[in-house]
Amino acid sequence: MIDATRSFIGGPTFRFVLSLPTTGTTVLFGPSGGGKTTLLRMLAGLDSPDRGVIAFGGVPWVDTAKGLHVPPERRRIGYVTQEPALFPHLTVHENAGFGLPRIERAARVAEVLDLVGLADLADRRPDALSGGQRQRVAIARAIAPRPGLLLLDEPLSALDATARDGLRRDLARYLHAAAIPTVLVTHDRAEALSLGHHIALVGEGRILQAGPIAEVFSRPDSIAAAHVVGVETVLAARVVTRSDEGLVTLEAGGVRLTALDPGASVVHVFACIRADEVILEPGATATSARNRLAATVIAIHDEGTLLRVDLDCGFPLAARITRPALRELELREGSAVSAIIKAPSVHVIPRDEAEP
Amino acid sequence: MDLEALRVSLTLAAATSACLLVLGLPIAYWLAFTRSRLRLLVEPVVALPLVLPPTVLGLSVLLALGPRSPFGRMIQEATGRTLAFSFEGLLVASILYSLPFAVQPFATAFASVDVRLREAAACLGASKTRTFFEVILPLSRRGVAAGLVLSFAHTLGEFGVVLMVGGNIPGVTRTASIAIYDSVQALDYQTALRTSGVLVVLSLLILAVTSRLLGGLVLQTGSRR
Repeated sequence: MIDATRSFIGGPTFRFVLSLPTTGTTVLFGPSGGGKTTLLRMLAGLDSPDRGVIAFGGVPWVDTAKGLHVPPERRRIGYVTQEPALFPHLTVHENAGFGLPRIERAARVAEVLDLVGLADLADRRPDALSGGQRQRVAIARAIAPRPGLLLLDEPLSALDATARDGLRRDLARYLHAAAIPTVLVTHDRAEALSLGHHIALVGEGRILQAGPIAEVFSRPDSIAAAHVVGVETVLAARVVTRSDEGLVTLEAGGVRLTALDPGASVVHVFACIRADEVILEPGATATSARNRLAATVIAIHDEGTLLRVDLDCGFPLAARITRPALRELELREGSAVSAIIKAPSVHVIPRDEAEP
Repeated sequence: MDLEALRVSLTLAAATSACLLVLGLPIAYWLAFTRSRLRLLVEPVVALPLVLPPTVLGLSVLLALGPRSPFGRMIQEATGRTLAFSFEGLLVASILYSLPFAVQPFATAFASVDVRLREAAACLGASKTRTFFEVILPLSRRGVAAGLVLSFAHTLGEFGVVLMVGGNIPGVTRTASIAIYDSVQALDYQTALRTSGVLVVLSLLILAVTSRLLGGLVLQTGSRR
């Protein structure tokens, strides 16, 4: 249970209100600067809110009205940072055992080092390890004392791509084995989807939306949330007709779109369309088929493996395509194409509730 | 050569360094990590001996220890004697005089320990004390060693303070540097040179040994990995 406000001098003010599920992994997802790390540090006790209450499992940790601040060493937490902060003067074994009482140390350290596959390197110092190995030690060290809550602050982001993929797979296994409620900060969609059960979208210094991960990712309930989960096209639209079959026709920029009925009697909505779900076909053949739009290419952006094509089809629309598709369609600026969007891919957010 | 004076010098320097280890670590810890505004006051006070003429410091200590000051009277009532013109009095003065030479390297070393390591220790349940002894201190050992060597060497070479507080009593407060001065006054240059030579060799030896032990320059403070 969190209700915490934290202001930074000359900077933003963050206010987080959130109830964390007590099982599984909760992902704090959002862009940099949105306050994810601040929220995590307040949970750890390394930062404290200016005003507010933080309680975990019924135990108050922070209550600014009462001047209560339980320091990190008394919260029974595990905390893993982006750059693994291993003690450079201690061996892998000593690092992993730092949070353990002396009598349990040997047995439990052997157990956690086994889990992360580093039992052979127990006598090494951190500077003789690779980045991925160091982060594994940091994770082992954090879970060794069996904390009540595990906090992971972008644990994979400082690693190179190969190490990151390897550790992402393993981390899911470690978290499952440890069975400790976990809060994971990330801005990486793949990391969030592969490790998270629940998600809280963090942006603009607040919690934008929280819930089961699949639901939040596919159904952002506000424009800000849609931006955070990465929906490229967000259109102001109006419901013009409703059918009995659960569909609505929207009108935006003089163009009609078919979408699923968001229910209620809303008229003003936002239509959110992911660039991944827009299909391009050659030639601007505007047919009567649903959501087949005549469009002109405005710009093409290189995003590495994929390309993002900005289109004008009465309103600005973004599509994402592969390089072979680009060659096949012979797209360049000014080309005429047809953009096809399946009705379920037009995600409708009632506008009146969209922005408080 | 005045061996007795050398013995007094070495005893005084060792005792000063030992006391500064006990006294300097908490002061340095506080200076390195406090957010209190008091720090703005304490920092210059600790650094004062760096700029103050030793005679001024010596005179202040002498007056403070003497039977006319409240502190001096308290000591006299408790121990039955005055600290002025005694080895203990000299030790007090030396500690004050060498305080910045110990505290500043200590504090610099503590402050340069990565804050994330302190946070990691706290999150692993370590108390502030345990974090200090198991994380901060081991990572600051070069700075601590530097502070001890500096204060030892500084005490060895001390003159003005010793003259004011100690009163040049042979075998008790007469140190090597005073003995050298006395020899020169008596136009006994040979003795003065011999004692000086011993001091030079001794200082070089200390620096070399510490440098060897730490595997690098002593005067480079802070933790180096």
